[in-house]
Amino acid sequence: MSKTPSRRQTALDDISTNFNNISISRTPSHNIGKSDVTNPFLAPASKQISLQKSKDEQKFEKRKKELLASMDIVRCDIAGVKVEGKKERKDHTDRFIPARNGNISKGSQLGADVANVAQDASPRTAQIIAQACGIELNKRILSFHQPAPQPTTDPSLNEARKHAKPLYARSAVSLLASTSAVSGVKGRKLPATAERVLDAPGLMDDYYLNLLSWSTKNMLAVALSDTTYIWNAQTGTVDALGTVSDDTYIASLDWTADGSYLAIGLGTGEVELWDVAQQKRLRSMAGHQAQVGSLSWWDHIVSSGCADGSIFHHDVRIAKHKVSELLGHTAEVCGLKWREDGEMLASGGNDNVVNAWEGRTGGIGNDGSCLSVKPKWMKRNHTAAVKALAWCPWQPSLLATGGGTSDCTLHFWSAQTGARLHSLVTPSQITNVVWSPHAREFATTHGFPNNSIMVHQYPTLSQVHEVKNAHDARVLYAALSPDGATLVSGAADENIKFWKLWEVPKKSKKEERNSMGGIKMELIR
Amino acid sequence: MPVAAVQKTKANITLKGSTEIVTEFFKYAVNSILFNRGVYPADDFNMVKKYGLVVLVTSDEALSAYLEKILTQVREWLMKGSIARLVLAIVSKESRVTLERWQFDVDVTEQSEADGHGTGPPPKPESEINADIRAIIKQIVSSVTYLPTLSEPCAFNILAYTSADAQVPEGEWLDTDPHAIEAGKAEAVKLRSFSTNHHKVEAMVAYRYEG
Repeated sequence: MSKTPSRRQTALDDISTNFNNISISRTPSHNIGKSDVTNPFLAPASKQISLQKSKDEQKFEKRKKELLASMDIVRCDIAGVKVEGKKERKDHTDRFIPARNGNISKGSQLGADVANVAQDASPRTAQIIAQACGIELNKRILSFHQPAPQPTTDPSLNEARKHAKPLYARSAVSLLASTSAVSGVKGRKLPATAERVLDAPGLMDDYYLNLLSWSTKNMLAVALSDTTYIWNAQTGTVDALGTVSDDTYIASLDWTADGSYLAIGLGTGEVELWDVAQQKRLRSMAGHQAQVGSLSWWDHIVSSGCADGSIFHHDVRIAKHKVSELLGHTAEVCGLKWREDGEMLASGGNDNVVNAWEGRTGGIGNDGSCLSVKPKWMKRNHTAAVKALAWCPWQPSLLATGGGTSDCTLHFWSAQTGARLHSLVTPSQITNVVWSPHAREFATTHGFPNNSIMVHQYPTLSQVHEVKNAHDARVLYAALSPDGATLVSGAADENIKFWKLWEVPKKSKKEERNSMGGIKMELIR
Repeated sequence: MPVAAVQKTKANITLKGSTEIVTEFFKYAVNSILFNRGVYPADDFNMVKKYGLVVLVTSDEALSAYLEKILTQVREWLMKGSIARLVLAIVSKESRVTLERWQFDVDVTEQSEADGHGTGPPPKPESEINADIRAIIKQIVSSVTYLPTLSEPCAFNILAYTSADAQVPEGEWLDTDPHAIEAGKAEAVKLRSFSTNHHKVEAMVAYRYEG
């Protein structure tokens, strides 16, 4: 026996059932009782429908037959039924052929709401609403009760998967970056390997130190445990500046703005001031009780961040050098940066706090002691030590801070209000953040596992470049060349590497050359 | 029965066979989408020759068992003619927003003309059906050229549009929202269609596009 006749039969039955339901719901006066409240086109569950159907069938078997036999007459009899019956038939001539009422995605968003509204409304209203919204009320949308299984996660495969990803599945940004098609990056060759590598035996592997500083006179100062070396970027010559006493080590370095003097923070808490041209120590400023891991100059003030959480301002011109005491950290200060104009100082600590300080507050009280200063604003968004701090050179109110291993997040702050402007999650510990003075970009250096150097755009935060495994160990120290083109990075693998990340705009290149000439002449003399 | 006999000899594909073809098509289409859109990692897929093409089918046991469960039910609905549409929605794992919506409309072709009076279209040979299906699978594969990249981790959801009176296994299938993409934020591309003597399947993909 072929299937077709029986299927036709069911179809016919169904049409008749539908018709029966229509006529029943349209004509409540025909002593239907409770069941007419539920619109058969709205019934939410199949159970209900079948129940109702059987009830209907039982009750109105006879009437159904009558109606079937005299469809046309019924339709002509009652005006209201005629119209609706027609509509119904037009929309659902056959239950196997679903009517597609316009774009489902337009109306279906409203589907649930409409269905709810329609539940309470009269059948006719319900139909009108449903039609207006382009949804079909006698349809069910079903999904399987289980969610789809998660893709397998095999950590050993993840890396391979990243590489095996087809081109189209890679994020547009990295794709663009790899083809250098991002606007502003056009034609720029980003380095995959270091331009130059210097060996730095004894470069300490300590996250809380800051051992690299590049002066405006193009001299790079590096501290290798107890000795400071000055590498002349112009000539490539290296001079040992001096050695500290045996019982301590160098914890931080910073050049003055003019590049003539170098401040050195020691493990014992002293801050030394060196004249580089004469290779002579000018003074040693005591005060801190513990290691001075961060230093920052503004004009004649050198600020020092200590392991006990205090920050001192030292005025190097006067005998009583300590002019201010900033108490805002409960753990070691590992990042400290003055804004170029000296209006603000930013500090980051091992207590996961970022503080911003007014530059012009503090000073000496009437009794001659230092006034302690409270921070202008304090941020606790980071969840790890904040070593990476940088003021944006082309947007003075912008501060970038990056957190350590358990944080890996960059936050961008408005210096004036303390509002968080942007955040960027990176794959690993952020040890340094450096803004490009020319491009709207910044570089970050990272620790385990990638030991990478990354370049991102601001404010889009899209990744421009990443040098994976830039070093064999975590990249700890970084500084930018005075021309703003080259980043120098120092790492626990005792190497110092130079990366040409940015181009110098042509105009300033000339200026650069002139100024370089000036330095050369000075050196020759 | 003479009518049945005539029909059987004329149409070399019965309803059961047609259901099988459509279900199989769903299987390969869904697998192709999951592979090509990167919903599951590529190394979970194996190459299989089908429709004269190389189609990628998942080797992830959990996933294939899941799909098999769904398709078994879809097969039943197809037999009874109570399914009108199958939708594969790709949603963002994080925001649960629908990013892509692959829609397969199933029409049951009218049989009354085809069997009794012979006025319907002549039955399609299987090779022709396979050629049509091949064209759709090819379109799915090539859709990566115009669909926006799915940069975030995604999950998928299969929806079945059934008639209200369809038999639904208790507890296994639940009523759900259509996972639609808001109008004005979506673009749709119609894909090819194929038909057997009993079913006509039309494919379409809608995707989130805020240009």
